[in-house]
Amino acid sequence: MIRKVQQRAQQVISGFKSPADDYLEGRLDISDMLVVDPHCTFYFKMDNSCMTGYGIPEGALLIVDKSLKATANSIVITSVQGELLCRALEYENEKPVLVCDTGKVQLDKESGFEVWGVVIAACYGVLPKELRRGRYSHVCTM
Amino acid sequence: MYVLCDCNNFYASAERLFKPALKGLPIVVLSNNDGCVIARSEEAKQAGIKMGDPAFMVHDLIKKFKIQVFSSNYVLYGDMSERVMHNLSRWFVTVIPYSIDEAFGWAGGINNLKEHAKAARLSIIQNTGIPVAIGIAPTKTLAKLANKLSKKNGGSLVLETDAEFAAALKDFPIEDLWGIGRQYYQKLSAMGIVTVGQLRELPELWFKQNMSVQGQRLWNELWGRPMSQLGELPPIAKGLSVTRSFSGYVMDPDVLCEAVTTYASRLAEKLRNEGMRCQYLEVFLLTNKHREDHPQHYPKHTHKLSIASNSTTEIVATANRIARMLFNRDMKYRKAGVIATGLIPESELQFHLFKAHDSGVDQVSAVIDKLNMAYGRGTLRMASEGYEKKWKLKHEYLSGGYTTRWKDLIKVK
Repeated sequence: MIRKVQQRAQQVISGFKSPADDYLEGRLDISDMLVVDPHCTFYFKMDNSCMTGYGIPEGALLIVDKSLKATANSIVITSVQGELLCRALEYENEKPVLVCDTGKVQLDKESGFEVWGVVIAACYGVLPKELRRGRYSHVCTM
Repeated sequence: MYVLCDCNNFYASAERLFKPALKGLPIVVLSNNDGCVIARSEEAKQAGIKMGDPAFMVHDLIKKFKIQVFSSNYVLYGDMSERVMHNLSRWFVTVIPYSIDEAFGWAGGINNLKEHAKAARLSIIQNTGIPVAIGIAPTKTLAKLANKLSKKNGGSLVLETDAEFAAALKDFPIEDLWGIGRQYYQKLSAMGIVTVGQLRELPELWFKQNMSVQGQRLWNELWGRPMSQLGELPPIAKGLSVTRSFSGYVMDPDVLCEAVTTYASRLAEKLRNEGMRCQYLEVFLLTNKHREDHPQHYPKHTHKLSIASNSTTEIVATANRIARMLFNRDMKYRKAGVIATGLIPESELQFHLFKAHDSGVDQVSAVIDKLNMAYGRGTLRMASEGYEKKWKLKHEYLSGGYTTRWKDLIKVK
């Protein structure tokens, strides 16, 4: 899907015309890899370390697509009793179960469980503290 | 066939989407400055809160029914609206937004319209989280009516045959019909006409004689003959304005100028967005007309610019000059506005005969626009806007820009 007009590298050269002129391409943009459908994509911040085992540490940026229907083994944003949680969705005896590192919760109708959206990717910075300075303090921190 | 899709209790639904704990609780959204109720959830309607109720008057009800109050968060509503409109356009061609929460569209080349409408509705709700209703019919008037009826009908309704129109119109109250204002409603109910079914049976001549050409159009549309096109865009604006109330009274000319600078900057930005320049700039001030014990003052002045402009620096400087001239130290001002009129397209600029003028390219404004586009509104602004903004609108109950600002992202456990 076309989302935006690519900004091609442009070189204004006063002397010789660049031989690369006819071969310029747009530079890679990370959102092409992380967002499939921007009109249905939302972002959340993980505020708990209970999904570390699933590759989602505390503080990670969660990319959530609302257009997907969750299947077993999806990681989802779900509302349980009015609270938004990030958990792995599994099924036991055809009943949904929310799983994280610290345990699992069986769900029944009374718990008011609803899938809000499916987490399609998680991003987090890996810079050590000494380098998290200046404009680099923004890397994946919200 | 015309499509009308609208969002159910849009503002309340947008707030609830990001706070699932509010499910089932009544929600109201207040106008700019937290003045009065402009949107309600279904539960708030049932609790007896009316549109336009001043916030202080419903205070008791709010406590009694544990109503959740929000300031209007147009940053969020604007983005959610765009999501709904975009998703709608995946199902119908030529989607034309009619307001922030409804859009007309064209349903052509679709075999099973009823199934298509159902699927479209479910998909929009799934993808955006905003509940919508869809009405489809051969005319805009009927589509609007189908949309209204659909809300008690599973959320989508398609009217294709005259038998279907007749059944839908039969008990539909005329006061809910698009195009019937209070005046016609009173006239018609005096004649004993209360349903659209009855209305439609009146002869065309009656509409012609009593309701002008609009009435005649209405009558034809009710019989399934389209009289208005999709995409009749509003005429190009003759003027643009930015007017706001202050949070309290402004009695200091410097504070007033901070506000006027802010409004004027926004106005200049709006002009540039539209590709227009203005020849006249008007500034007005207002005191609180509800306080009869206060002295009243409604000064305004229009200034003709020597060369039509849309430059932030020039418009701000002119507006500030006018504001200082209008200001009276003995008054308590409640509201101010800056209005641009005599708009001309940027390309048709006329220079001044006796004045030197640069090429007309306003580099300062261009840099302001570029920076604010890249780094967010207000990144580069006039220093005379001030920092404290004591006058700034109240929005005590504002929720976050969950979809537009990284720092406002919702934290999940």
